[in-house]
Amino acid sequence: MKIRTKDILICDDHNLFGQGICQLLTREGHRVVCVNSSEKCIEKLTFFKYDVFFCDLNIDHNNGFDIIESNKAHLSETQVFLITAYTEDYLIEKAEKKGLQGFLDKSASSEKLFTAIHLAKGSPFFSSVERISQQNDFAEKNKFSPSKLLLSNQEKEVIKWVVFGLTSKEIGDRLFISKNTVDTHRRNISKKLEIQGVSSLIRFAHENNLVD
Amino acid sequence: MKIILWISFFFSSFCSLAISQPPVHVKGGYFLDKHSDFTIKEILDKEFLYLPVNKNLNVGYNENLAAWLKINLYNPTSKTQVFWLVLDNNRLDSIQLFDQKQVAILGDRTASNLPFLSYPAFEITLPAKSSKQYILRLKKSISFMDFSFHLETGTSIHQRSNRFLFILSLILGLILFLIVFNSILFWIARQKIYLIYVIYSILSIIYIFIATGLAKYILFPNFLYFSEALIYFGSVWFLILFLFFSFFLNLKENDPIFYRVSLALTVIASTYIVSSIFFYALGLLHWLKILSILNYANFLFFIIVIVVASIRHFKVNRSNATYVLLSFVPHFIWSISIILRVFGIFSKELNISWLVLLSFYDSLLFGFVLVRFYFQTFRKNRLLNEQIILQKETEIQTIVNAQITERQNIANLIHDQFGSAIGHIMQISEKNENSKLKELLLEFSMNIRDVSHQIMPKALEDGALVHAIENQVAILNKTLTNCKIEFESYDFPTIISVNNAQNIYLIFLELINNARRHGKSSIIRMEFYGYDQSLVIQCTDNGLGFDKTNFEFGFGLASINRRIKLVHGKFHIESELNKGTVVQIEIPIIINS
Repeated sequence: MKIRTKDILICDDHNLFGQGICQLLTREGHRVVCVNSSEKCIEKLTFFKYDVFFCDLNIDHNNGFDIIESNKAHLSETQVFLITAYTEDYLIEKAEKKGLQGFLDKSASSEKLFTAIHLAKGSPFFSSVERISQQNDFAEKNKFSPSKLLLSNQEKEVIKWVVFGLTSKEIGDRLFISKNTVDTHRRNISKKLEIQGVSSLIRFAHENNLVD
Repeated sequence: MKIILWISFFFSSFCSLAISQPPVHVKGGYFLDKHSDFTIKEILDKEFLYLPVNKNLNVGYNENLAAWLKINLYNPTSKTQVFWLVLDNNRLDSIQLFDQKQVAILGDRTASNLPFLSYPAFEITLPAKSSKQYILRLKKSISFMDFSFHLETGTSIHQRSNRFLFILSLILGLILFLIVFNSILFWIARQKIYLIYVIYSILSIIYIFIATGLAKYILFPNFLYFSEALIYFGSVWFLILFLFFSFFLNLKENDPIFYRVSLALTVIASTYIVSSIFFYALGLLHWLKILSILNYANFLFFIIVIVVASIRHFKVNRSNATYVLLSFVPHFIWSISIILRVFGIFSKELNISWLVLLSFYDSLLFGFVLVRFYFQTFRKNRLLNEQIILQKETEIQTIVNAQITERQNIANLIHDQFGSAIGHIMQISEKNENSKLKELLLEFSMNIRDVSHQIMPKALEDGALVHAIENQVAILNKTLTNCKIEFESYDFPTIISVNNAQNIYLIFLELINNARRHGKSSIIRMEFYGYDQSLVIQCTDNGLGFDKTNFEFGFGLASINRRIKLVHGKFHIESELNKGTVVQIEIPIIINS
């Protein structure tokens, strides 16, 4: 496979890590520039054009996202990667949303790094780590889940007595809980079940055999 | 109560003064000259009515009347007698004394070395076995008029005068001290009641000066309108007293109806005062009687209002009500007697010195009460301050404790997750099993990822709380074997303020921790609700629960409570033994940016 030479900018304030990648990529035949402060980074971005830009998340108290955002004009031709030790789903999603080309964690293997560099322009978002939410059944969360409608025993009791026409104070006295708790329960229940008003609640209670 | 005893002591000592009379025969007579028509020559032909010594003659309301007094004196002893003829009303405006020809006008006090008197008196020298006749012409401008006369020896009059001066200056000094003290309190505390007290006391002093004749005989001998001044100052003085009472009882808040009534009465009384001055200036004299009767009626009503209000005040503050009622007893008697006299029901007037004593009584009583109040408040504030400091200290202790536990948690996490793993990696690396090593290192990096997330997720820096919690729940469910955490959010905003996000995240961890460790719950359900004004977090578990009636905030709950306070939230916890626990937390959304 013929390797095309690329101009690469690495911005990382951990010198050892930055230089490590720098050497690795130079050995592969790329022209690599490594900077360790946000000022130098912005200077380079302003005056030179790069094919690939690796940006750390935390650079001398600045946020990598902010640097990328404020230099967007200079990065229109550049493939931008966030490279960080933090591997939260949130960051991966944020990188994708911000239009970055990819997300690399610092413990990623060198193969992943090379894959990232050689991604063609316009390829889908690349991430070196799998998101936690995609590892298990968490991914289905955003779809409807029956768990969303689950009612606790206390909530069921509250519904029951509301249907019988008791006031919050009376329900609280009956269940040995405070009126405030009952009020919060009632508010939460109508939000949870997306039900407005007592009449709909009565219907719901009968349909679900909560009154007996 | 001690104060009242002391004041009563002064009062009784003042009253117990005996008058010693000279050994002279005296016969008095009077004649009322309705329109002040007669001269001294004409009057000698008139028939005088008998007026005994010390008998009070009540003329009633007069407009232009002159009262003539004829006093025949005879000295039966063989010594020359020097004594005083005393008129027991210092509010007479004009007194002319005739001894064949006119000898003195207006309680003339030009002679030197005269004792101070609160009433007009004339020195008379009567040789042995001789008799003398004196004629007096008394006038008082428009108002109620009464007088009496008696004879008194010089020593007696000097004694009375000295004693009176002593008590007067003592009490005036005390009132002045209280005025100064309460002015300082007003300056410090900025409460109107002190100012009203100061005004009231100053008016009292002015009133005392006029009523005792000090103003007339010493300060302004040429001023002729003291009887009017006395009435108007008296009215204003009474008004201020009522104002003071309504402030003292805090009628505005405790009894709004009575407050409005007393305000209305104040306005009416002020109108009477202003309009009577106006009528007097215009010379519409017959109006004045009606006005003064209306004014007295108004004051009577006012007294009733204050007495009823203070009786009602017993429910609110017993001691304050007692003070007002006690201070009111002499006022009450005195004013009722005056009013009854005005309406002609009861003719005996109480001595003017009563009124002087009244003002002492109030001023001293309330001066002391206010000062005592101030010191009580001062003491209470100091106690409160000490409590606040104590609370602050315990709060700091809670924070320190929270930090220590936090550090312990982190230390445990690092030890559990990495300690053994690193040992394992070292063993493997010695054996040169590269593929195995790689696998372990990968696992190791995953662990780091979980731990760093657990300590403080990056997402919170953007306020993405739900994100952080969803991840954390996934990690926890992966690692916990005997417990399942369910998490649902209902309209909860994806981004909230960073401060709220961090606090709620830590509250969340603490809730899970409590439910697991103390409650031994197997299912923990965490629900986040988003409302327009607030965020609600509800944590329901199926754990051991506890007895609400016999429960103290443990360390975990104390730290949750502190965090909730930081975000101005509310916190409800409901539990029953073996029936799990429900925690509800409501945090207001502060919209400021």
